[in-house]
Amino acid sequence: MTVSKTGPLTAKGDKSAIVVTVCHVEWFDLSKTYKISNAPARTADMEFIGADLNFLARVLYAESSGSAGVRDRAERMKEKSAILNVKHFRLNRVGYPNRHAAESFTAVCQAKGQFESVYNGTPKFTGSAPESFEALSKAECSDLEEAVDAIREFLNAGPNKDYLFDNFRGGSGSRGQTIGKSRFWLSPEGKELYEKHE
Amino acid sequence: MKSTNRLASIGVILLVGLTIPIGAWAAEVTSAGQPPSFNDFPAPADESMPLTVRLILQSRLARHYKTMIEIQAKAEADFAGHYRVATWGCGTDCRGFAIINKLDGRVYTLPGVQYVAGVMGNDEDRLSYRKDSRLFVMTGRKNDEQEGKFYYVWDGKALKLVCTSPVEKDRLDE
Repeated sequence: MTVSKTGPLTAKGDKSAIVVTVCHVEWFDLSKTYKISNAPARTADMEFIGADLNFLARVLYAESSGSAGVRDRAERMKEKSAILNVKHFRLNRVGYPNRHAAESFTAVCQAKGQFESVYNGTPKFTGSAPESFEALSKAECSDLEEAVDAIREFLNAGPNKDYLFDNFRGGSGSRGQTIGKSRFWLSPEGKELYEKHE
Repeated sequence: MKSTNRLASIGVILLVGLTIPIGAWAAEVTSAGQPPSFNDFPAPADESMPLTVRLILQSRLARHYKTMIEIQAKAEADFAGHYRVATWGCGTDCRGFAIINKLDGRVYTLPGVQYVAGVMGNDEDRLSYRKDSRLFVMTGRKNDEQEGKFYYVWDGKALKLVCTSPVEKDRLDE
């Protein structure tokens, strides 16, 4: 928690409101670039700017289960990791959804019609924007911090071979591997691309 | 005089559009080989007011997405005159939907269809519809299974399939 005050603090006569910031997130440094450890040739040379990873964190926060939906933190982090692997699978690769290959995580997330939080601007995505995230509740802020942590873990460890997925769905259903509250799988077309190029 | 004739023409078009049996259209589509267009199924002008009646959620799917439907029911009609299509995301390139009658609050879903998902190499809108038309087009895979471009016509109570065509895809050879 950060307590800040705009203007000089004085012992007497200062009766203006004190600004209390509940949410403090350790975002990625906007002046740095980052790489993915143990990345395949397709993404090994790619560098990601802080703003790109911060955008990714907001989408991940919006698309994954929060603590209200999945109580176990380890399970929530697995789900986030699986979603990150989906996004990584789509990096620098055509077909999601057209011939354009995304060269950043932001481009993956902004590809036409792919992620509802982005194309519809869902409350979690808009509420975590740089100008508004400080107003998040403690629980929501914690979920957002988890998303940032999950990306740091992903960058350090690299893609997870057990999470070779290119799609996920919310809710129940028979298809895919359930992690958290989402179901994940690799499409036949994605598998073909993977076997051809990696 | 000219404007009177024009109004009469519009009236005839509307009448024809509203009275052609959907089955007859389906047969016509099959023989002509051309998919229908939005103009083929005009809808009457919207006379709906802001929704004040209680929503009647008629299916399990609609009840499951009650909150999304309630929020979007407040927005203006955007389909077939006085209907609002509520949509929600369900994962990567995935849409669920329900059709809300803004006059009586009834909410309709398409039996057997939970959602429509994307197809690699195709970036068309998964759901296409207009306020001035009763045509409703789904492009992709129904429930991640049956693939196609599905043309439905709204009859006031249900969507009726009138035509199916293949989904156009980009070549993905890298």
